[in-house]
Amino acid sequence: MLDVKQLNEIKENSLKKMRLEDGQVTHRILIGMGTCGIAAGAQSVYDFLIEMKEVYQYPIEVLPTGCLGMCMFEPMVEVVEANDKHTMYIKMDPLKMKEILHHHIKEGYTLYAYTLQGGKDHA
Amino acid sequence: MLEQRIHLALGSQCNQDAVLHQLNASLKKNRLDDRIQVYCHTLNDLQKPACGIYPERIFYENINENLMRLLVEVQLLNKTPLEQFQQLKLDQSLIERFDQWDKDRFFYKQTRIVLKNAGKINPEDIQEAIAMDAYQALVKALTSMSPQEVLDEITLSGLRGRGGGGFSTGRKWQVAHDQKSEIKYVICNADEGDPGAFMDRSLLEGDPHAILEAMMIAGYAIGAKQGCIYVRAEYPVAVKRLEIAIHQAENLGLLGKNILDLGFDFSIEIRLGAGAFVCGEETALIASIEGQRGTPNPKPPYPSVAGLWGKPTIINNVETLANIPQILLKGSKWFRSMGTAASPGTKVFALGGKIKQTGLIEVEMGLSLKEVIYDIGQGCGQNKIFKAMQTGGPSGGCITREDLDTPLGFDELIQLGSMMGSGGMIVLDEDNCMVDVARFYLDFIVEESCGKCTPCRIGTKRLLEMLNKVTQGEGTLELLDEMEELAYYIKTSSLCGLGQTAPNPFLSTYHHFKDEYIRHVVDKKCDAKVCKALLEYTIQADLCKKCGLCARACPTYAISGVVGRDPFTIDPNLCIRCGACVLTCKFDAIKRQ
Repeated sequence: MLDVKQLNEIKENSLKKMRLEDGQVTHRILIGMGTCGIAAGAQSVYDFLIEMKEVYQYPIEVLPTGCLGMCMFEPMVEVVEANDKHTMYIKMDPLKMKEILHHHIKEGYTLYAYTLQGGKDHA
Repeated sequence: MLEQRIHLALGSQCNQDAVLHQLNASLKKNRLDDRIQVYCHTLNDLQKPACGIYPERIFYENINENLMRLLVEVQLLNKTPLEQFQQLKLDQSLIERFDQWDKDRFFYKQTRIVLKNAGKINPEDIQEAIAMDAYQALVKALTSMSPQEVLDEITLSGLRGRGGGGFSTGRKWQVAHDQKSEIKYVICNADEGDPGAFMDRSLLEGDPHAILEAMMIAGYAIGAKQGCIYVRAEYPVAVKRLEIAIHQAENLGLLGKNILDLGFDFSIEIRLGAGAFVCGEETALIASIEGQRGTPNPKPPYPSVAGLWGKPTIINNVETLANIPQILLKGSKWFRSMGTAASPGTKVFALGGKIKQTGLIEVEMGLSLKEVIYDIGQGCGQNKIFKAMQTGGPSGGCITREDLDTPLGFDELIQLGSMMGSGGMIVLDEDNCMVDVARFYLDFIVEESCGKCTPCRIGTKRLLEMLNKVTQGEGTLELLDEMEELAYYIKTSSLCGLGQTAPNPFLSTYHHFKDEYIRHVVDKKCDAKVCKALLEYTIQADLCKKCGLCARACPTYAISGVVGRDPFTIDPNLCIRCGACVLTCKFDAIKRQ
């Protein structure tokens, strides 16, 4: 039986994990997978990332999430890094995701053309 | 940053349309319109309009049509700053606002309370929800508050039902609490049916634990041990995530017997609805859960007194419930600090229709509709003029541009003849025919009417037939009067909310756009070029190059002529007004009116 103390323990551990403090995971990748995201093709992006993670052992965590509200830019992928840096990529597909894995996750620089700020007006 | 952006800050006094129109026209003339984005912002305290050009960060104050033209030709084309207007001394706070707009065009006017976790956590993992304070409000209620204290807190916060009616949640709970009964129920109404609304779906998909927690708090407050989520089967993702959430909470001991070792029992089950619109109505929803036909019953007795299986039941909308944990955690004063006095808090809206930035937004009550459309939604498409906004789904009405300064709130919108509804906002521009809009919503109502009472079953059907007559050019002025009379009878004699509000789409469009109706019935013309029966396609002989492309595209062989010799003509009797010829003609010779 869970009591209040244990609940708070779960909270702290999970917060640590979400802030990427343990160091095993360097990037948290959130894929917008509400109905709007799935309709726009988020499932293929998700499957692709899971496969890439398994094959190449990227130190990433791939998670589905709900709708952020900008349904017109789905599928959206948010990359979260340890120093609380968030990068939002819009209108993703597996091919673009491959570039992001290489440039952002491996080499460490942002692909502005695909971000919300840079890519929005093109999209 | 690949291209330039112009941010216009327009005060409520400024001549917005003229400036915007000139800017759009100049951009188009100089072929810059696909490289430069224009964003409009409204500032109520601003006297003189200003603009900022990004990424260079050049600002101009006191702009007018003339300056806009110069701006495009000198600044944007030749990259030379306009010396004579150069960088007027803008208020530092205004410059900061410009910077903020450029950084965060979608979120800066939003206040996210209900949606704070949506899109940020993994909804299929209870641990992430717990990390974001889920179940903390429940702990607070169970350990340090009595049920009456919880009720008082909710009543004090002034939270009103977000499902449409805007009834005080605290009062509803208090009535259920005061009933003497062993068994009580908490129901979450996730039967969202308005066309163009998807707030509840996104909430359930993004943060299901907030709903579970709120239902437990509600159960604790009124003394219920069982909860039920009525969600439509058309939301498979939401249902799946809810099931996972309930399963995980049960495994952790956050649902079931003796929750958190604090002696409180609560269980939640999911009931799937088949997707009837009327089942969003409380009594129909209860009937549907009980296994009967989903038809409404007369009130009173209200469900808070005798609801599911005759026991006291509270029914709350998903969004209402999602507010509860936050109110308990941060207090009713905090909640009251947002929004207006009569409608505190925030509201989630689904922004759709002819608007640049569609999506799900959460704003404080009291924000003006103009800010929602032009700042968050970034206005209608290029060179299109805003015509009206439809709120409240099929029960609501239209708001015209004259009323756009109205602050958002339950009572304010009702005064305008519309309603808050569950939060669908559909923006209509000059290409929408208001008669057709009314016909669309009435068509929906006719489909969804449950058929129990005559005014709703037969009255709406007749009203729809009359509207169809108008769109087909068979209407008369007497018909319009008849329609108004019929709408009045449906409104006053229907049994439930669905019927009582069913004529609203017609009444509201008729009230605001009477001239459009009259043009349909007297001149037999549809200015928005939507009503097909009223359209006429003609080929202008002087522009026709006699190439015959249109004749080949015509599916009904209505266009005849000889290639290279005679100008082509359209036989109006054969023409089905599909518009295929307009699309193929390279010389714009085909006129549609």
